[in-house]
Amino acid sequence: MIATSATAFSTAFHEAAHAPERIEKARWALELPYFRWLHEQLPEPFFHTQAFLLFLLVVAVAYWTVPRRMNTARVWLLVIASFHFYAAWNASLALLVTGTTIADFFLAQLIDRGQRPRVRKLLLFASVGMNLGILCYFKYRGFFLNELHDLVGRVGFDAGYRTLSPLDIIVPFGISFYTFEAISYAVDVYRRKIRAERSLPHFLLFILFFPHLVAGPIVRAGDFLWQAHRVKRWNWLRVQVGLQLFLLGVFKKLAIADRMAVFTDGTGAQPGPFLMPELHNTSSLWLAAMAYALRIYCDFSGYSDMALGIAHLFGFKLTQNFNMPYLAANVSEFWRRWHISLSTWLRDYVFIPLGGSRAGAWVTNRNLMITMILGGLWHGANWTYVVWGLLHGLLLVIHRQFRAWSVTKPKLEAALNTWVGTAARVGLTFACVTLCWVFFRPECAKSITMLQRMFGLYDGLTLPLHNRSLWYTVLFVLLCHLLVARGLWQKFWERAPAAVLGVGYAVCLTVAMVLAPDGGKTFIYFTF
Amino acid sequence: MPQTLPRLFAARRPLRTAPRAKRRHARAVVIASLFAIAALSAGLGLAAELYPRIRDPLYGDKLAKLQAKLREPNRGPLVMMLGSSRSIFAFDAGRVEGQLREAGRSTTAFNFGVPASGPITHLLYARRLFRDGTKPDLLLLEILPSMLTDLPAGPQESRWLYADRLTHRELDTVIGLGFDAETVRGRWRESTLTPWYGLRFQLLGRVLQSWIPWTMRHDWSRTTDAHGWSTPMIQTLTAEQRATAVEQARAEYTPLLFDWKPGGPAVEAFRTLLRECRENGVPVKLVLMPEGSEFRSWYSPAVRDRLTAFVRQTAAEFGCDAIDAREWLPDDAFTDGHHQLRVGAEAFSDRLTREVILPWRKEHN
Repeated sequence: MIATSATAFSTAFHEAAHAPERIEKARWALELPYFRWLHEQLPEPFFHTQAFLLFLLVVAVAYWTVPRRMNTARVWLLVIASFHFYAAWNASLALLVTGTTIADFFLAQLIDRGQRPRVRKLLLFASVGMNLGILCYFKYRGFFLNELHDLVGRVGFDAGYRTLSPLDIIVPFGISFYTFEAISYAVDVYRRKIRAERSLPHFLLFILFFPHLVAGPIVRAGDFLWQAHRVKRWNWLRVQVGLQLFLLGVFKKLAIADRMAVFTDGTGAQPGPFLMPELHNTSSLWLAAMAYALRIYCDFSGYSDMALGIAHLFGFKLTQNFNMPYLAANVSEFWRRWHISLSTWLRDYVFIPLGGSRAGAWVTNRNLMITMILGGLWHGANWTYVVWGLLHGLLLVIHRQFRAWSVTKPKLEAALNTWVGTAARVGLTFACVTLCWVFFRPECAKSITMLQRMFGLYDGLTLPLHNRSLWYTVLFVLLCHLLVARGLWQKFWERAPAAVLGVGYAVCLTVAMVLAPDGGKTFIYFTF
Repeated sequence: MPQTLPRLFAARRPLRTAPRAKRRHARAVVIASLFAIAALSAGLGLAAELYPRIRDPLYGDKLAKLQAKLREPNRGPLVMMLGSSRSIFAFDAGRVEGQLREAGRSTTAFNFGVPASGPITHLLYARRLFRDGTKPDLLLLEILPSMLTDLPAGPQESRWLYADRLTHRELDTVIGLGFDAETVRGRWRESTLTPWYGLRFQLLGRVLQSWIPWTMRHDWSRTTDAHGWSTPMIQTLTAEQRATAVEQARAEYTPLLFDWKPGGPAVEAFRTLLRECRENGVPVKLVLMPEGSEFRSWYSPAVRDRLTAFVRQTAAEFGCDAIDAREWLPDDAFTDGHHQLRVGAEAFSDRLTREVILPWRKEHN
C-alpha cells in the first residue's frame, strides 16, 4: 500500500510540477509583452518577496512625493499601482476586476439616485448578480458541473462533457474577497446606510487597493472611502506601526506557517500526514493536525498583518482581522476573533437578514447553520468546505444550547469561569477547531482517512521532521499570546527605548529569515 | 536626525508623552531598525566572506579539522583523500595513520570526503586548499564515474552545489563548467545581500540541526572524527534492509551508468584539477572506489571497458597511478552496494595502506 501511495504522491507531484506550465499557457495566450515583462518583475503577488518589497518601495516613494494637495493624484497612483500588482499575475483578470468595479460604481450611483423601490431593487440584483455570477463562473462552475456530471452518470446517462480538473480553471486570486466587498457596498447603498461614492478613482481604490486585494481583510466602504478622501500627512507613528505589523506578518508566515507546513505537507523526500494520512501513525496525525491549526492561523493572520502594515505606510487603517482566536473559550467567541472581517460580513449580510436570533431557538439555529455552511462554501467549491462549515455551525448550535442550559446552573457557571475552567474551555475549543481543520482542504477521502486514523491506534511513518521544533513553536506561540493577553507586550512597546525596539524589529526579521524552510509556500487564503 | 540619536536609549512613559514626542520616538525606532537590519546583514555577509565555515561548512569544518591536525607536533607528510560520500565512509584516516606509525612511517592522514561532491567541487576545494597554503604530500583522488558523464541538463553537481556555498571568484568557474549563470549569480546575490536568508541552512545546521530536513543539512563535516572520517551510522543490516538500499541505489545510478561515456564539464574539471595538482607539485593517485557485485553489474561490458580506458589514459597523461579497488570488498561490506560499513572501511583502509600508502611512504621517506 505504501508503494501505491508513494506512486500517487509522485503523480501528484508531477501534476503539480506541470500545473504552472499549463496555467501559464492559458494565462498568456492573449496578453501583451508589457504584461509579460511585468510578470517577470513581480511573478507572485506575495508580500514577503524581494520583488514585492522593491515594488512597495517605488510606490511608497512616488506616493509620498506627490504633494498633499493633490490627493486625487495620490489615489490614482495607488489605483494604477494596485492594477499593476494584480496584472503582474494575470492581466486579463486584472482588467476583469477593474471592469466589474467600474460597473459596480455606476450601478451604485443609480441605486443611490433611484426613487422607485422596484427599480432600486432591480439595480441591486443586477450588481449582486453580476458579482456572484462572476464568482460562480470562476470558483463554483467546476464543482457544479462535475457534480452534475457524476449525478447524470449515476443514473445511467452521458452528460456530454468531460469533468473539469482544477488545472482547467484559473480562479482569480482574492475573488471571494473583492466580490464580498462589492456586494456589501451595493447593499449598504441600497439600504441607504451610505451614499454612493461620487469619485471613480476613490471607488476603484476601495476595491483594488493592493494590500487587501488578494486575501482581505474584507473592507467595508463605510470604513475605507472616508480614509481615501482624507488628506494624509507623513506620520512616523504610522510608519512604526506599519513596520511592526509587516515584520510580525513576515515572522508569522516564514518562521511559523511555512515551518508548520513541513509537518503537515512534508518535504520533497517524504510526504506529510495531510498529503498521505494513510501512511502515518496516529500520534503523527494528531501532531500534524495541531501543526495545521498553527499553520493556517499564522499563514492567514500573518498575511493580514502584512496587509494592515502596508496600508499604514500609505496612511490607511484596515479592519483588524484576527484577535488571538485560539484563546477563545468557546466557538462563538472563536468566530468573533477569527477572520473578523468575514464573520462580521456573514453576520450583517446573511445571518441578520435571515432573521438573526430574534425568532426563537429553532430559527436561530437554522440561521446559524445556513450562515456557516455558506461561510464554508465561501472558502472553496468542495464538499469538504461544506462539511467544515456544517461542523462549525453544529458547534455554534451546541454551544448556544449549552449556554442557555448552563446559565440556570450558577455553580457550573462559576466553575467554568474559574482559571481552570477557562483554560479547559480554551483547550476544548482549540481541540474542536483543530479537528474541524482536518476538513479544510479539497480531498474529502483524505480527511476521512485522517480522522479514522486519528481515533485508532495505527502504526506508520512519523513526522517528516523531528517534532521538537513543533513543540517549541507551539510553546512560543502560546507564550506570545499570553504576553499580549496580559498586556505585557503593550507595556513593553510603549516604554521600551527606541534602540531596543529597533533592534527587536531587526532580530524579528532575521529570525524569520533564518527559520524559513526551503521553498516558499503560497498563502492558503489566496485560493479563496 | 540630530535629536534622534539621544532619543534612541531614552525610556518613555507613554501616558505622559505628547503626540509630537511619540512621533519622534517612532522615527527613532524606524531608523534604529533600518540600521540594525543593515548592520546584521552586513555583519553576517562579511563574516561569511571571511570564514568559510559560515558559507560552506562542509568545507570549513573539514578545513578546521585538517588545520588542527597540521598543527600537531612531529607530524609526518600529509596524505589526504578527496572524494564523495563513498570516501567519507571508506577512508578511515585515523586507522591508516596508526598503521603507518606502527610501521615506523609517521604520517598525517586526512579524509576530505564531502557528500554529494564530484570533480567540480573537488577542483574548487583543492584550489581553496592550495590558496591557503595546504598542499598534501599525496592526494588520493576518488573517481566517481557517475559524476564524470555529460548530461543534457548540465553537470550533475549543479543539483547540489549551490552558489551560496561559493565565493565570488568561484562563480565564473562553475558557470564556465556548465552551471546556469542566472541561477548561480541570483543565488549568490541572495546569500550575500540577505545572508540570514540565503545562508539559513548553514546556520541552522550549526545550532538547530533537528529543525531542518536532513537533506538540507550542511553539518556533515562537523560530525566526523578528528581525521575527517565519518563512522557509518548503521553497522549491521538485515538482508531486507540491504536489498531496499541497493534498490534505491539502482534507481539512482543505472540511468547514469548504463550507457556511461566520460565527457562534458565534469571531465574538464577533473582534468583541470589534475593539471593544477601537477603545477602545485602535489602527487596524485586516482582511486576507483570499491563497489558491490550487484552495483558493478550495472555497468555494461562496453561501459566497463570505456571506464578502464578513461582511467588508464588520464593517469598516463598526468603521470599519476590509478588504483582500481572496485573488487576489493565483499557485498556485506556495503550498505547499498557502494557506501561502506565500518567493516568495509577497515578492510579498505588496511589494504590501501598496505598496497598504496606504505610503499609510497617508503619511497618518499
